[in-house]
Amino acid sequence: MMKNKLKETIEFVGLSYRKEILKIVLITITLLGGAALIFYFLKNVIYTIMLLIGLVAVDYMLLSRFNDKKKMLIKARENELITIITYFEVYIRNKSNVYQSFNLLIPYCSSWMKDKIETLLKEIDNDKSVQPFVNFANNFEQLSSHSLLLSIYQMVDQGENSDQLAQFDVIFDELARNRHKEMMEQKEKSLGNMSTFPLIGAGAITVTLTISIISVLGDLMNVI
Amino acid sequence: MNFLLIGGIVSLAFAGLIFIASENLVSTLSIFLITFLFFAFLIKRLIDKYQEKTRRYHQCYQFINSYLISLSIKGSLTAARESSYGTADSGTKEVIDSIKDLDEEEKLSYLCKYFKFDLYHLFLDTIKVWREQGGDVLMMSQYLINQVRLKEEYLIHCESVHRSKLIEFFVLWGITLTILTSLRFALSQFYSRIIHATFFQVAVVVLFLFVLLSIYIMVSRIVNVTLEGWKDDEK
Repeated sequence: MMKNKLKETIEFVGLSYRKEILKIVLITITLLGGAALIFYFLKNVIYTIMLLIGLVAVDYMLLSRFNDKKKMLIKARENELITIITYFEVYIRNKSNVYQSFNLLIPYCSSWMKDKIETLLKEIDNDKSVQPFVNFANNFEQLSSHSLLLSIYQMVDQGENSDQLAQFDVIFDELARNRHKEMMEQKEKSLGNMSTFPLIGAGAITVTLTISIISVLGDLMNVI
Repeated sequence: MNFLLIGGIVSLAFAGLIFIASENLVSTLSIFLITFLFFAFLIKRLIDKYQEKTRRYHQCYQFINSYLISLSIKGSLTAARESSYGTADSGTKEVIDSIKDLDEEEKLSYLCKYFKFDLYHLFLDTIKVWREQGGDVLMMSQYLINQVRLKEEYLIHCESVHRSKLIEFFVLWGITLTILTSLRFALSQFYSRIIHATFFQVAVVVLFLFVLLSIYIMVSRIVNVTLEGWKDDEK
């Protein structure tokens, strides 16, 4: 179950499950080997335990980075959807129909989004129901993406009349405003975190001085 | 900004601080050199690219706005282009001057090499539709103008956040490094013994390298602004 979930996550971020697991296994074996050698030759339990703790931390970091990457990718795709829907709105307002507008979006898309839009267009060719839009919306986790795609379907179904456009506007405006706000908050957050670096530096100075003073005191005690 | 000058000042300051903290000429010279090269090449390159990107976006914003407003009033591409030319900076004017032999549509298309943003491509598409179908260009481009303005607001917000966070960051590092050097005088007796320990010497150099690493991360985050269509490796 857990293996399947991990495999799914690794493949979702576009990496090879086998290669990534092999990397983690090799790193683990190397660190375990190092710990065994230290214990065997130096007989130093503290260094061995420190290396083993390091090994657990490294493995945790290596395994959790896939989930972090997945979250980032999902967020990036949702952001891209909002960006291209902005462009979509410009085309719709310039009297292109829904199908043409999606087609015009392709040059602005990432390869992933391009693939999804091409699939949507192919599905629309064969199926005039809401299903192609639902399938497209299923690529995104945000609930508002589903409402947005449904309102776009209503434009196809009931024509791009002013009521449909107004409904689309309401949903889109909310999404775009949230995205704009989120981008600004994200910027502040990413720079706000930087103040931890000087604090780490101050901590490092304290630790360095403490260790140095203790070692000087130790030397003095030995002399006495 | 003259990065050679900034690099020189910061490397001198770091060299002074590390000399007070460690009294080691090798560490002092190494940190001086590393800091200077770090600012003169790495940081300069990042900031130059960022400044060019944001400058072009500000120019693109002004260009699109004045072009569309003039077009809606005068109804002519030439008049609209002339009006946008008036609001452009010298770099943009130079580019527009270099293509004066092209016709109006070719000029607009050519400028997408300069304004490498998705929004500029949308602007071109809107102009194309207006030429083919006519209509009120301001109404047609209402959503485009909104998006271009939102992006401009985002950039202005980023610039103000950058300023305040940079001040906060450098003040905090200033306090931290002052603690290191003031301890040199506060712990004068102990310090004369500590200063000869290899561990302490290495730790001081590592600390300064850590300062440089944090500056690099800070600058990387500052230059990371989302402007769709622009690729950082472009010139």
